[in-house]
This record gives sequence, structure tokens and C-alpha cells, in this order.
Amino acid sequence: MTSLIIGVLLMVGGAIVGIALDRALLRRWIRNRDPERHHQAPRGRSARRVIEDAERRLESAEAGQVSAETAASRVEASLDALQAGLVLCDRNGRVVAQNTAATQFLQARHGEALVAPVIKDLLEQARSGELVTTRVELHAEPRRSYEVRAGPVLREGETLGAVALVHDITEHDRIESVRRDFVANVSHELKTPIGALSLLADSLAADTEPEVAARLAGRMQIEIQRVANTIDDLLTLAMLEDESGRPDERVDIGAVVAAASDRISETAEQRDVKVVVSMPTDLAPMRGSRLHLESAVFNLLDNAIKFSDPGERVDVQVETDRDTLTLSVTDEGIGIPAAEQSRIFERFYRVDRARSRSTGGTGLGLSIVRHVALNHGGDVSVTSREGLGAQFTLKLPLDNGD
Amino acid sequence: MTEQTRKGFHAEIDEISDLIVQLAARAGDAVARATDALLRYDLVEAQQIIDDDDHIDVAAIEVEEKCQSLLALQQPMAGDLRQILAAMWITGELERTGGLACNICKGARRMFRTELPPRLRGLIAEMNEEAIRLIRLSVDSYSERDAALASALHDIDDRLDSLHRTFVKTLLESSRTHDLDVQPSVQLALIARYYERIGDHAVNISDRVRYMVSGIMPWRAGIARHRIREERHESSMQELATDPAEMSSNGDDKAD
Repeated sequence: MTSLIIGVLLMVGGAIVGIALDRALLRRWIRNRDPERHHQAPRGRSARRVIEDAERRLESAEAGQVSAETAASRVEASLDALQAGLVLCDRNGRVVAQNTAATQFLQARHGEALVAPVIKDLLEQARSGELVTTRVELHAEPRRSYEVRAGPVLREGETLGAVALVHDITEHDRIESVRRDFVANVSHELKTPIGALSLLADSLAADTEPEVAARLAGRMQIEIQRVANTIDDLLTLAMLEDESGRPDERVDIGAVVAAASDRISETAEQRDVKVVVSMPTDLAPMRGSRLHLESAVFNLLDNAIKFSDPGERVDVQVETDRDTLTLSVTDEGIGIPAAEQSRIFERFYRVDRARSRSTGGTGLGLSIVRHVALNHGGDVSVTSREGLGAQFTLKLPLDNGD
Repeated sequence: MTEQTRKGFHAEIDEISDLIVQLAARAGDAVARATDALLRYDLVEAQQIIDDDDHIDVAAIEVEEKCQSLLALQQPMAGDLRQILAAMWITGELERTGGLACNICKGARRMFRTELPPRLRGLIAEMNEEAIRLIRLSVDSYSERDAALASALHDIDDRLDSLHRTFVKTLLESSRTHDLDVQPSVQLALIARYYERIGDHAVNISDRVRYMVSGIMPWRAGIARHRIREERHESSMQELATDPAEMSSNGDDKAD
């Protein structure tokens, strides 16, 4: 075939990928499109792969191996398979093609309706030859972030139109902030006690009065304990991450809960928080690691007590059905802001850093809980309203085989 | 030729309805953003939201002017006329919603450095969710021309009203137990009121949707209610005059 080829320059993940679309095929594709269709694009295919696929199929069509019709529908399917929304307009700004994902944006209501005017804007700028990028942040739940990129479609230096791509970058942003905050938080957690130790040691060296020296040494011990706790928890986490496969011990979950609440009882008494445990007496043993499960329950209790006011109570409830054990720890404390709830299981993540120093703790407790849950094939979740307390729920699958 | 003109006319009506959906998305996002700024004590973001409100105003004026020119040039009748009138009114409600988001930001600014008691924070988050849910439902009823959903909004709004009452009650308790100053207490009471008003605007939108779809004018029932209330109000004016707090909790239910 000797027909004209449109080179569509796409910015995908920072790389420029050229795709060749046969103009006649494209036109047929546009004509055949049913704008009402809303099928979900399959996830997990990179844009580059899809485009390469489309190119290969076009080539084989040109070589006469596949009919042009089939090739067109394959191009269409490939573009629809993109997670990214793709909108193509001609040199007059008229939209000539869009894939399924883009249709969803252009017909969206509520928050996502804000993406459509941005696409229009950027296509406009792209038609004058610019490569442009904008972010769209949606603040109402569920929060989402989109990146819209647009660039001109050129052929031999002449602008034929413009193409815009819309990416959902919510997950990318989340991972990025987890990574960034982890580095900041870990250095904070380790540097603060070290800084304090260094100051205390300086004062101790300069002071000769035994009373002051004793007080300084006492403060140093507290800081040393803090670092030691952090390192212990880090080692526990490292061990949990290292272990592959489900730990295989017969564990009496009743004994685990009893041991954990026994260990926490002194702290609870000091803070005047009442811990109430309710669980069935006939709990069957489950498979797992006794040590790790106890550490998970302990951490949940420790957390609940830490954020409770004196006089409040913490409830531990264990329930089982045929294949799941559900352990929930409920407090009446200050609760967790909705926006933070998805992040509290991250290592060293603190909702309120100013408060965390007075409550103590390493900032690793909930990460440990999550890892224990994952190692046992279960998970941990939280529901909370600020001012009305929080409920942490640990779900563990039961093996009925033995 | 006439058919061509008519086709253009309906395309323009469709465009207006797209613009309203976008305007509602902007207004709803402004409310969510304002709540974020308030709960994170983020004054820079609060100022940004106030500045960005100009976009909402510009978009609202754009819709209004489109409506005006359609009315003048096409002289639509019946359903078409109702659709354009409804669009103009709804635009006004959405513009006010954006304005209330700004008011939340200004309130946040006035009580900066006040740490809010957790329960009040939780209630603010809940009022925010509820207000946004109402905006979304009103837009759904508009886009789908769903009169049944639109008439349900009055009842759905009860939840936000009751959250507002709980908030005021909790605020009165907190000002004792948490030692809240007068300024933040007043600002918080106003902010709660703004959320409640946002809900009222959503209900007003749903009234206009019912008019657009069926031609009935639900707000006329409001006028009748209002008259009865006025009469009752006047007769009990003397009793209430001794307790001004009682009056404000009784307030009007229509938008400004």
C-alpha cells in the first residue's frame, strides 16, 4: 500500500514513541466507532507494547497477510486496551478519534468532568506546535490525580492536528510520597535521639556535680532505650520480610491474646485505660507463628492505649467463622483523619509528629502488624472517625485441613 | 435550513448542560479542597482556593451569557425554555457553592493556630462528605433528568442538617472542655453553617431539575410554607425576642 502515513508522536512515560497509522484505516476506525460503548480496558499493558503490537499488525496488513478491515479493528482494540485516554484532533481542533478511556473522561460527571476542559485546552495549545503537560488533582473522595499531555501530530514538518494523553497517576504519586517520606522519617527517627544523646554527653562532660550528672545519665538511658526500640522493631520487620511462606506452628490464639494483654496490662493501668477482651472459649488452634501473632496483637493494643484518654476503654474481640478468624481492637480515643488512614501502615509514618514524641513508640508498630497479617495470608484494616476512636481489624484465614 | 438552526440550538443546549456538569465538578472540588485546607491548617492552600474561585465565577458567567443569548435569539418554548431557565438558576446555585467554599477558607484563616478538638474535626469531615454527596446527587438528577431522585434530595439533606445540629451541640460542649476561644468558636459555628448551606444549594438545584423535567415548581410550596412560618413567626416574635439564640437556629432554608 502506498497510502500516506501519519506519524503520531506520543509522549509515553517520558519516552517518545512513534506510531504509524494508515490514514484510510484510521478514518474507517473513526467511522466504525460506537461512542456509547463502555468496556473496561484491561490493566497492566504498557502503552509501548500496545502501540508496537498495533504497528506490527498494520505491517502485516500491508504485506497482504491480514485484511485491512481486521487490521483496523485490531488497531481500535489496541488503542482501547490502553489505560491512558487518547484523543486525536485535526488541524481545526475537531476531535476525530478517541479511545474508550478518553470517552469515559469526556462523558464524565463529578470530579472527572474537570479533565475534559483540560484536554480541550491542551489540544488547543498543542495545535500551535507546543508539547504541554498539566496535572489535574481531584480532592473529593476517592482522591485522584491525572496527568494530561498533548503534542502536535506532525508530518514532514507540517502540523496535521494534535494528540492528547490522559494518565491516572494516583498510584504513582502515592508510591512516590511513600518513598520520599520514608527517607525523611527514618532519618528523623534515628537522628533525633542521637542528637539528644550528643547534647547530653556534652553536658555530662562539662558538669562535675553528681546530682546533675545522675539526671543527665538518666535522660541518656531514655534516649538509648528509644534507639534500641527502633532498632529492635526494624530487625523484627526485616525478619518478617525475610520469611517466605506461612509460618507453620500450631497456635492457640486465645493464649496469644491473653499473653499480649498481660504484657500491656501495666501500661494500661498507668494510663488508666481498661482493656476488655471477649472471645469464644472453644477457639480451635490455627497455623502460624505464635511469636509474631503475639507481637501483632501487642502492637495493636499498645497503639489503642497510647491514643486513648484516661478513663476510656479498649475492646478486643475475637470471632471466627468457617474459614476466617477476625480479631478487632476498638478504642474510644482521638481517631485518625480520613486522609491519613491509608498511610498509617507505612514504616515510620506519623499522623502527628509533635504528639508521637510524647507518646513514645517507634512508628513501626502498625507496619509490623501488617507484615504479620500478610505472612499469615490475611490483612489488617482500619475504620475511624476523628474524635470517635478507631477500630483495627485483623483478618486471618483458618486452615481447616488439620 | 430551519432544521439546521434547530439542530444547532439543541447542540448549544447540550453544551450548556456539559458546562454545568463541569461547573458542579469545580464547585464540589472546591468544597473538598477547602475542607482539606481547614483540617490541615494550610493557609497557603486556603488562599489558593479563594483565588481559584474566580474560575468558577468566570465559568458561571459564561453559562449565563450562553443562556441569555439562546433566550434572546431562539425564543424557546416549553421544555426547551424550562431547560434554559433551569440552567441559569442552577448556575447561580453552583456559583454560591463555590463562594461558600471560599468562606470556609476565610474561616480557616481567621482561626489559624487553633488546634481543633478531634470530635469537631471528625464532624467537619462528615459534613464535607455529606455536602459533596448532595452535590453529586443533584448533578446526577440533572444529567439524567431524574425527577424522582431530585425530589428525594430534600429528605437526603436531613442527614446534613442533623450533622449540623450535632456539630453545634458538640461545639458548645467543646468550648468548655477544650477551652476554645470565642473567635474560633464563632468561626467554627459559621463554617458548620456553610456546609449546611451547601446542602441547601444542592436541594435548590434538585428543585430546578424537577421544574425542568416536569414543569412543576416545588419552590412555590416553599413560598406557602414561608408565609405560614412568617405569620407564626410574627405572632411569637415577642417571646423569642428575649432569646436571640433561639431565632438563629430556626433560620431560613433557601439560598441567598
